Amino acid sequence: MTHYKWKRIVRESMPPLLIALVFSLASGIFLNSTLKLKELIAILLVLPAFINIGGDIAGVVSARITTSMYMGEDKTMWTSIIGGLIVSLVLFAFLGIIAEILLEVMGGGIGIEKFISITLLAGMMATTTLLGISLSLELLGRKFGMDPSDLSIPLLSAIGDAIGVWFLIFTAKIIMGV
Amino acid sequence: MVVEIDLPELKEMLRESISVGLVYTLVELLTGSFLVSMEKELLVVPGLAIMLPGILDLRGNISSTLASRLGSALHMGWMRPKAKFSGEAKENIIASITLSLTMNIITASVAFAVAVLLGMKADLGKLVLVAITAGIIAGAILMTLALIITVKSFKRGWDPNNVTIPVLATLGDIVMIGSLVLVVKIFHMVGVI
Repeated sequence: MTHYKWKRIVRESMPPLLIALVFSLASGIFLNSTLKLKELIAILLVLPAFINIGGDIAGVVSARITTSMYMGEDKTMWTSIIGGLIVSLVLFAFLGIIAEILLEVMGGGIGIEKFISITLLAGMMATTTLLGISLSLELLGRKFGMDPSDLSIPLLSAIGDAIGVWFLIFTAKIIMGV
Repeated sequence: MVVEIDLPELKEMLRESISVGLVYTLVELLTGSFLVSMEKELLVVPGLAIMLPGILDLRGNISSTLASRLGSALHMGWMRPKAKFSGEAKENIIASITLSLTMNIITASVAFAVAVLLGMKADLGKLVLVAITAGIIAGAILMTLALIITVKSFKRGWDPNNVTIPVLATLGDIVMIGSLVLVVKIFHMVGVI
């Protein structure tokens, strides 16, 4: 006899995966709308890294805050939030610089200041939004007596990717003026 | 509200998160350049771009939850630390294969419906074929990796959750996008899509 039953895992995993699918399809429609535009290559190049940075920072901050709530340490909350914002600034700027270098090697740079503006602006908007959502989920979870990890981590990963793609494409369109 | 900051803790968080972040940003940029190499196919195959984020997201979710459950099974002593396809590992892997096939078909079908609604000439058969083939290739690689990494890190006395989830999240993207690009390019070359 095994503790895990494949049928049960499938049944329990479907609802969150289906919710995640709705958000990813929204990102897909958004991605599809940029297809004929010249900024597509720049967006495709940074997309995986961009989504990963935002999701990772929100995940780390949210996990740290959850732990600190159990431990009753309020200092950790602000330390984590400010730390998360500084890490975002550094990583999104780094992403813009390296991506522009790669594009120039491939023969189609868009300008270093433009690329850094896109990744930084879109990145900070995405991180701040995700942090806001995760903090609200923490507070809601605490109010209703749920373990915040069960609530915020799956929801954050579903919403996070979509928000990342939206902010990235939106900012790229504005800054590249298309 | 008083905002208090623990400076040593902040410094530690910055040092750890930034050094790890710089590494995965570079790895993910490599993944991004695979995506760029698929630009032509994204333009030629209607609906492919719509299903792309869904397919990528799915892969990460399924392999990291698999790793996390295997980690729990090891911690609880339900499973012996051996990379064998039996018992708990078997149930978990069957579940992941079922989930990944079902969800890939659903994703491709919904992407097809959306594409048609947007007035594009999408082909359901082609999208499902791409989603399933890429899903099987990437799934086989990632599930094997999930099992091996979980068992190995547990044997070394590390908490598998700290190792497998970040590793699979990063590798998952590369492997999934790599197999997607490969499948799309080969199918496009032989004229299937």
